[in-house]
Amino acid sequence: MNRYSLCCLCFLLILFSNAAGAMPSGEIVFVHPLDWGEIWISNVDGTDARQLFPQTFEEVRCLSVQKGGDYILAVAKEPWSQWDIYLFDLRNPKTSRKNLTKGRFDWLEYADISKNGDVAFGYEGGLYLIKSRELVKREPAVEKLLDWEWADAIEWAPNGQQIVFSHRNNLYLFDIVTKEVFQIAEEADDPAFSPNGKQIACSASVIRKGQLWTTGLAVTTPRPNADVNMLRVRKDYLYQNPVWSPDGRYIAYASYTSLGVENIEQFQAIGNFIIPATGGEPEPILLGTKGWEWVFEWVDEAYPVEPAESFVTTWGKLKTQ
Amino acid sequence: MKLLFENRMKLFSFCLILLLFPLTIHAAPSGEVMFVHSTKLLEIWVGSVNGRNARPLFKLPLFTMELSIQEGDRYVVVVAEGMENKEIGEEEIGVDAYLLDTQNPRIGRKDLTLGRFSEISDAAISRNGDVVFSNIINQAHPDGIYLIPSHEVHTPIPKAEKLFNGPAGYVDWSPNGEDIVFSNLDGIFLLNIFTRQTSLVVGEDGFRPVFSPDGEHLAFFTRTFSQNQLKRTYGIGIVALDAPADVKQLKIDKGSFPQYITWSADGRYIAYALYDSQDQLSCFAVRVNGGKQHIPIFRAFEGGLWTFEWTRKKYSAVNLLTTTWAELKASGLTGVENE
Repeated sequence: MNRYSLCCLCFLLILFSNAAGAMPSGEIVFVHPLDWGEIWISNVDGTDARQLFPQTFEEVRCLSVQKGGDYILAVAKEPWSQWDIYLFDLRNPKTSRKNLTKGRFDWLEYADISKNGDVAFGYEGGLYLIKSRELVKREPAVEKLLDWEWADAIEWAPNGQQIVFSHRNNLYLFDIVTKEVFQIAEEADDPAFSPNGKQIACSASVIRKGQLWTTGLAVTTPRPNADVNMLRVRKDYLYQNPVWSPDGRYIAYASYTSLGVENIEQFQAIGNFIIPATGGEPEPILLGTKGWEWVFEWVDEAYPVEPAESFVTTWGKLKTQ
Repeated sequence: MKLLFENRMKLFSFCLILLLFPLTIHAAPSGEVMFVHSTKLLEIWVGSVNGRNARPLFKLPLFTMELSIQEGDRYVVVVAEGMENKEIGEEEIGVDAYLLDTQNPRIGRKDLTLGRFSEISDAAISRNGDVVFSNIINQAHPDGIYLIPSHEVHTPIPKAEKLFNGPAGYVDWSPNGEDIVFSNLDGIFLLNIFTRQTSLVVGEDGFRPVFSPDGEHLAFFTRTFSQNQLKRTYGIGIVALDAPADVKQLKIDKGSFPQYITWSADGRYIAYALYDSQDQLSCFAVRVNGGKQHIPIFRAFEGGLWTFEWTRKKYSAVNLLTTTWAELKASGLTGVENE
């Protein structure tokens, strides 16, 4: 075999190995589908799911992972208390989480932490901020960023200077430096910035003859009145909570239908999937968790898991070691 | 003289009883069975038919409903419903097919279907390690029969190919691993895994078929309806595959409801479990050739056994069994060596 053939063979082998290992890397942090108060982590196919933090809640409704940082934020509820924003420190997962809001806000739903550690959240009357330097304080100061009726589905841009949010099924972008706010798109929700900040994945309504026909998974750009390009649309199915893979090549989402599911094709279209960010066929993910993950984030790091004893693996994983 | 005659007759009768008694005792099947424990519902045990030497083999966070043992006894496939059991570290959701390894019982379970097929109705493992299962969508819409080839069984997410599209309840492999027998409301069918062709063996009266160890016969339950369709009567059917029109019928207790049926390891008995009209579970064995006597079995197990299969070898006593990875590493067990 000459060098040219050998080179071709190696190239083909590399290509083949990439094609065979099609499941993207990284890990998914998610709220357990059965125990809504537990935060878990898994590889993308879901075959090594394990509890990330020993601390549990009654329910967790929102998660945010600091990009390149050590914090995980959760909007969660303790038994017999109201919704608060909690901060976990991955460097010290055994230490108890820090309650940032301590009942000061009676209804919280969305919060997000920027790569700088600033925390933004929506509450009655607008968009609020807890600066990163406040996180270590006993009772972090909260300042109002934007007067707005209500801000849902909040997410920081990767540059840490802009926030995308939804309000009445429209997407808006707010610049915390210039204080400018503009509408990105109508009939869209659940925004998620791509890692490079150039695109926003979202769920978008499909309107036909003036009526809501269905919702689809879409991408748009952080510009005024931007185009919304559909990636996935299927009648009677909802595509929600998109998150980007750390390399920006895939978007993961949750899919659900209100139809009565009567066949395997309908059944297997429900759950968590990834789709190439440029469009294509979706692939199921998180199969090993056997649940429908509603709240999740995609990270590129393998976090330590505590307690070590809770790291239960699967037989298939052991066999392949 | 009369007294002497009477005494001799008594002695003769006594000897006759002594002679017959062992025959009666030995008329029951023997060997070891694997079963779901009647009171420790999350444990699978092994023990002799008479209840001696019963011991746990697997402890799972699962309620096992169906059981299939690979010829050679290495792997076991169960259909089980997830139960919340945090004491052993995990909890499961739904009804799925799982693979268990008798040589590494501490390694835990391998979920083969991972909730991707809604509820699994039944599953079986062939001598080659191929797994078939039937499923139903949302407890209402029958889907079909799927095959997980042996080379897929140990992958993290095993791929399954559909063999049959349509309603299917109970499934069982032929001992040669080439055919599957299954039942639905239309009867009992053979499905060849290479040609994917199905053929009717027994009409709508038959259900829950199981292959004899030599692969030449099927045993199954039968149901007949009264004229007004209000009453069902159940029985047992045996049929030779080369003479499917000639079904041998065995009666079972009136008013009872059949739960489970299988063959003894030597193929001489059919063993079955029934719920009587008081909802009490009882197990019996009947000789395939000529037996009319239904011999109570598993009486040593309180409450009866609802799922059991004969093993072909004896397992050593083991400790209870699912563990964490950390414990496995600490114990040096990885489950790889015997694969």
